[in-house]
Amino acid sequence: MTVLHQKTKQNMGYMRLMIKYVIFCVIVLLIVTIILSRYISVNNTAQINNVLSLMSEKVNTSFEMMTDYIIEAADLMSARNEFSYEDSYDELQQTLQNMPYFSIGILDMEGNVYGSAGEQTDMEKQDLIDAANHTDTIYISEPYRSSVTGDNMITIFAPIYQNDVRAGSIFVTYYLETIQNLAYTNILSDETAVFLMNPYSGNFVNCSQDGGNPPGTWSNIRLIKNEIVCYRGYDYDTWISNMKSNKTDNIINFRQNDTAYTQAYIHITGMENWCLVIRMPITELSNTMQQYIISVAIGAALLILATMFLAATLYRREHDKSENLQMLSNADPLTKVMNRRGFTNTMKKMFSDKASLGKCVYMFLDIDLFKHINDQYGHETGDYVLCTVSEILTDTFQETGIVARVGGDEFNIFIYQPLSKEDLNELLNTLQIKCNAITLPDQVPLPVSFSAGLSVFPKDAKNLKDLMNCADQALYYVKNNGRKNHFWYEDLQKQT
Amino acid sequence: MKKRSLKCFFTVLMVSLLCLCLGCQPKEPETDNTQDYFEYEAVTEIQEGRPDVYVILKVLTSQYWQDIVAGITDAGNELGCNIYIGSTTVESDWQTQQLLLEEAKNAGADAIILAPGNSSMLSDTVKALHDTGTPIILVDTILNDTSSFDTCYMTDNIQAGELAAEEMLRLLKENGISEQEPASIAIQITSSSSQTVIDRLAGFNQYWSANAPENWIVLDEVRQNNGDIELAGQNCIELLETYPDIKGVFGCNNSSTVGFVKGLMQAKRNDVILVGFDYADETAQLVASDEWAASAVVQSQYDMGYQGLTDAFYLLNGNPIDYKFVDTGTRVINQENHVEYERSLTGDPK
Repeated sequence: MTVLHQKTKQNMGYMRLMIKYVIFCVIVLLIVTIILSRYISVNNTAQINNVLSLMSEKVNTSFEMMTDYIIEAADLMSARNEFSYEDSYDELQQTLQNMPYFSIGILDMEGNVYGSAGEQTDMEKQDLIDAANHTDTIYISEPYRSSVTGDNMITIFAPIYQNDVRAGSIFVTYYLETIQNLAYTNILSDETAVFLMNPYSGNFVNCSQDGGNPPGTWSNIRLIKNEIVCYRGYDYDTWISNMKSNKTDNIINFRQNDTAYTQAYIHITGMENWCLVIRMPITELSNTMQQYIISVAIGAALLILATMFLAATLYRREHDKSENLQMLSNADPLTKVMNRRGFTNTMKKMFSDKASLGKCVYMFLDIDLFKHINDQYGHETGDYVLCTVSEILTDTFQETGIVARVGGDEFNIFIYQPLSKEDLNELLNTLQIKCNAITLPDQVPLPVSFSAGLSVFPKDAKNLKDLMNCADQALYYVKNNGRKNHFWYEDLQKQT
Repeated sequence: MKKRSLKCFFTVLMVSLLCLCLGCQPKEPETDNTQDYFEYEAVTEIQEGRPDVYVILKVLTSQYWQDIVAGITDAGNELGCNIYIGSTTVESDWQTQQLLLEEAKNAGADAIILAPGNSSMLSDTVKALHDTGTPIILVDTILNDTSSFDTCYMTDNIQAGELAAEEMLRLLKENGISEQEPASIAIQITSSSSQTVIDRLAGFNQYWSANAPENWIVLDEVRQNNGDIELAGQNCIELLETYPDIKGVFGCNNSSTVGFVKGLMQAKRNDVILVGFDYADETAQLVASDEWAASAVVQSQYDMGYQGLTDAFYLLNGNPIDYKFVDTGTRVINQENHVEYERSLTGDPK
């Protein structure tokens, strides 16, 4: 009982140590993750603003390249000595293939459009003809829905001259997605949004699919202003004012519907009162970094698990080894039951806490005339008898007591389960029958008997030494009275 | 005992870590969102040998949709088509429209006219039908995927909003508001999820920012009424109380306009100018009155139906169409032309 308790105690100790180890590791892991996340968060805004500035420059340069291409085409046309709208239009059509625009054409000063019939309709409807022909530089339309494709477009116009006299405009029509594509990068492809925004009207038009809205969907800042919460140091009205007055302070950080954004504006030459607005989620960079943190955390967690598994394996091996050693030093090598040393130690430990002991029985048991067996059948047979008797005793007292071989044919049994005297008498009689039925491996019967003396704790003695003495006296009595029996010390007392 | 405890401990730890790393994603329940609908009904004489054109609309109950039906029916009778009209009972019920499209396909529709209840969700179904060679004409609302239909007849609501702003400026000036005098314009919409009203609001602001005097501003506060005319009227009264220098109000749709009419009349503020959409009885009353300055922007919904059916017939006869989007236009109804307009409504709207 005490041995089992001690083992459980050891295991519990080990479990507690492991749990403490895991808790410690998890706390360390959490602290490191929080510190890293906070560090990234603090530095993220500055980094994302830098990325946004670079992105703005990229979009601006790309947009200028779009308009430069049209200006160059217009300049080439202007430089010609012989010019006809029809021929020039036919030549321009040759360039259409593999170009990012939808259409290219010419507009003369009378308002005739050298393009598709739908384009003539669109330009008249959108009042683009007069506006384009009365602008000396580049002119860009507001976004509009093309009657030719049904998609949302912008048209860029560049002036053409003949002999220094205005002869009309070249125009190129782009799908609105083309502007979004200017902001394309491999890393941030899905996250960067580009809008066209008019700070005077508060209108903005998305250039890419935005939720369920296709490119070219209009909206107005008045409808979303109450959803916007600016970060400290930023104000949306100030940002709009800066846009109107073309100030260099073009970045704002805000939160809308639980997403943090940074956005910047760029002025567009030729598109009066409209700006390009580039918006990125602030979390985008930190999300990328968070992926690394999560990977590290998973790696660390796996490492902890591996360490725990290793520790558990080592503990088990060490435990098994220790158990083996203990068994070797405390066990009888022949019969595998406890030896004198093991039994004495166990008894000392048990009797060191007498209060926890209930009614117990101590028994000395000797195999009768064992010397004769050895002499008559040889030591090998004697050993076989010892082992068989040990097995019978162990089977009988497995659940109720401790069996030990303390000398040649001497066994000590300590019964700690409260069995009645009658039950024990019956048990010992059964034991005698079993021993009497022992057969050798070659099936030759070899009846054996035993003598036993029993004393009861605490009735017969209050300490181990006296208890053993009482049992010894009882055994002595049996041996002097014909053996093959057992006797209780208390009965001996009654006789004397 | 010991091994089992360790196993349990490791299992719980591993499961906890996995849950922590992967998170748990609940599966969204699948629901049937279809609602009641009007089954297909023939609106022309049905004769064998004539093309069968199936029409799927958003609703049938309002005058606006009845005008579209009238346009389609007139064109169908003139050109000799069998017209079947079906509709949902809720404007946004695109799931039922999907069922109606399937029914039309199974019934062997030669062409389909559709007013989509959702611009993105119906694209795939319509495209699959269009790819089989069935001409598809859209009315009232366009689909995001422009390759999924042949052509679309609808109002360019940006331009409609601009037209409303132009009329508002004209009326303010005509009613003696000086350009130096501060003036505010209040706007009301039905819902910020309706792209139609957002476009009208955007068009209004676009024209206003480019053409209005500096002292005449559009208020930042935009009230919503979700189609509730009583709420729209209440909104009007609150706006008038909150902003004393309101000189004009703009209703982006019928409910907003009628709400403004009721609010202005209740507050007896005939010094405030009204420009709104659609020609409800209440709006017409204000437009006709000498004591009020009010104008209504109306759409050409009859033309959407008439021209849409004409295009379907044109396509069925193997003729190509080289346009995808047609703005059927809007016009302003005011004191100068309301009599003529009302006469056109009672007679042949065409």
